[in-house]
Amino acid sequence: MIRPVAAVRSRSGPRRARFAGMLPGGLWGREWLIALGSRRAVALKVAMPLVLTVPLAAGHAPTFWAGMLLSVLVAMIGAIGTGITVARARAAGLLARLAVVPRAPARTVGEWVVAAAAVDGLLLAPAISVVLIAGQPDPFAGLALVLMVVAVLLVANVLGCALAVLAGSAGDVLLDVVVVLAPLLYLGGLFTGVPREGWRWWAARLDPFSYLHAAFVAALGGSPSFAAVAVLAAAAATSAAALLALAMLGRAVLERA
Amino acid sequence: MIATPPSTAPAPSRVAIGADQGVPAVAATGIERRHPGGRGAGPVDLEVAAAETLALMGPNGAGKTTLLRMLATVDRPQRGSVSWWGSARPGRARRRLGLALDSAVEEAGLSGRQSTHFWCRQWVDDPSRARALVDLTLRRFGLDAVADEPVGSYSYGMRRRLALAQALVHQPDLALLDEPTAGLDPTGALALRELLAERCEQGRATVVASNDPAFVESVAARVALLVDGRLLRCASPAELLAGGDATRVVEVTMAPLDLPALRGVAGVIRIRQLDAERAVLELRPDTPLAGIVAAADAVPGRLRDLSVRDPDLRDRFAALTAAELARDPLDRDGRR
Repeated sequence: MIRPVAAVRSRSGPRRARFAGMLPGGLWGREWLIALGSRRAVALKVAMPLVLTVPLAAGHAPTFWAGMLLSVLVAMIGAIGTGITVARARAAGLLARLAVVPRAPARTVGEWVVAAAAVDGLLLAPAISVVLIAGQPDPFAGLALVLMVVAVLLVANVLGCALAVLAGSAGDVLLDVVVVLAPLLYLGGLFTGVPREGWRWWAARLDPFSYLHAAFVAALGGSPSFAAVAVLAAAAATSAAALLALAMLGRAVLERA
Repeated sequence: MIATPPSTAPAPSRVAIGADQGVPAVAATGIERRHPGGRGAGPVDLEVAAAETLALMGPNGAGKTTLLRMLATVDRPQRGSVSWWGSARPGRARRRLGLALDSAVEEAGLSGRQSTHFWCRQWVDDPSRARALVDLTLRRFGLDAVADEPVGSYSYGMRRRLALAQALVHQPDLALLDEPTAGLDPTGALALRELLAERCEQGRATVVASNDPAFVESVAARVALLVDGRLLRCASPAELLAGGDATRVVEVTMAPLDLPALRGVAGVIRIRQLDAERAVLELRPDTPLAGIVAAADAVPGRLRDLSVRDPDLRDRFAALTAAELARDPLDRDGRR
C-alpha cells in the first residue's frame, strides 16, 4: 500500500465550506453549490435587481420605460453571468477537464447552462415578485411574464456561453454581450417602441426581447405590443430554440477548451 | 502522518484488463498541432504501453502541453492520428482517461471533498463507490484534514495536490499529468512517485510532462525529449545518460565567476551557468581536475567550492537541447 502524503494540518478552527455535506454529482448540483456558497454574493445578486425594481414599481414609473429597464436587466444578468463563468472556466483549465469527461459535450454544456439559468431565475424571483405584487396583473399575464423571463434567461445564458467561446477573456465577454445585445434590444423595440408596419415589425415579432418587454408592460398595467397568449407562445418557442442552440453549441464550447 | 486507509477502501479496478494485452494505451502517428505563431507540437510518433510511465521533457515552449492535450483528447491533431487501446474514437477513450493540467484552478467556494466528488462522479456512477474513492484519494494526498474547507483557503501546494487527486480519483487506465511535481513538497513528490509505481504494477499507463529530472529519472520507463515540438529522443533514462559524451560533471562556485577562464581548460565540453557564482562543467573522461582548479583559482581565494558528480538527466537534457537549439533553424525546420 502506498504511503499517504504527509497530511496537511487543518488550522485551529477550520472554516467549513457552506453545505459541505452536500456532494455534487453533476454540473447542476455543482452550479447551485457555487451560487449559494457565498452569502455575500447571494445577497448582492438578489439586491441588485431589487434596487432597480422597487423604485420603478413603487414610483409608478411609465410602464414602457420600466418594462425596458427590467427587460435589459434580465437579458444582461443572463448573458453576462454565464459568459464570464465560461470564459473564466476556459482560462482556469476547467473546460479542458470537462472536455475529457466521458459524456456528450451537448449534455455537459447543456446541464451547465440550464443550471446557470435556473440560478439566475431564483435570484431574480424576488424582483419579479415585486413587479407582480405592484402591478396586480391578471393571472394569465402574470404567468406569461414568469415564463417569458425563464425563456429569456435561458436564451441569454446560451448567448453568453456562445460569446464566451469567441471572446479572449472574461473582460471581453462583457463588451461582446453589450455589442450583441444592444441591437437585439433595439430591434425588439425596447428603446423606441415597435412600428406597426415594415421590416422592424417583423423583426420585433422574431425577437424574444420584444415579448419580454410586452410581458413587463402588461404586468405593470400598461398597454403591451403583444397579447399574453402571444407572449406564452413566444416563451415556448424561445425556450425550444435556446435548447436546440445549446445542443449545437456543446461541442464548440468544449473544443475551445 | 495518516494511518493506512481502512479495509473498506474500494479495491483498485480496471476496465477490460484482458482485452488490453499488448495493445498500447495510446499511440500517436505523425500528430501535429501548431498555433498561429508556429509554436506547438509535431509531427510526433509516440507509443505508451499499458503499464508504462512515459515522461515528456523539453525546454519551455517545446510543445509538451500541446502534445499532452492531444493525447488527452482535449485538442484534435491538425495532422496525424491518435488511438487509445487500439481505437481511434476519443469518446470511448475518455471513459478511461484522467487529466491534470498545470493551470487547473478549482472553484474557490467548493470544498476539496465536494470538487473531488464532482470529478469522480463524472466517471463513477455508483455514489457510494465514488464516496469511498474520494475519501481514499484525499487521504493519500494528505488532504483529508482539510477536505471540508473551501478550496479558496488552500495554499498553492494544497491546490496542486487536489488537482492530482482529482485526476487520479477514478483510477484511470491512462493518466496525463502536466508538471505534476510543481508546487509539491518533497514528501508529496515522493508519495506521487510511489503512486505512479503502483499504477504501473496495476497495468495502468501514465504520461507526465515534467522538467524535474530527479522525478522523471525515478518514475519514467522512457523519456521523450521534445525540442521545438519535435521528438528529439525517446529512450529510457539509462540509455539517455549512456548516450552522452561527458562522464563527469563538475559544479564550480567562484566569486566572481570567470567563464572564459573555465572555457579555456582542455577537456571541458560544455559550461552551463547556474547563477552569478555557480557553473556546471561537463568534462571528457580523461580531463584532470587540476586544470579546473588551477583555472578557477588563478586569482587566489576566488574558488569557493568544487564538487564532482556523475552526469544526471538534467545535464543530459541541457546538453541535448542546447545542441539541438544551436543548429541552424532552417536545417531543423527541414526535418519537420
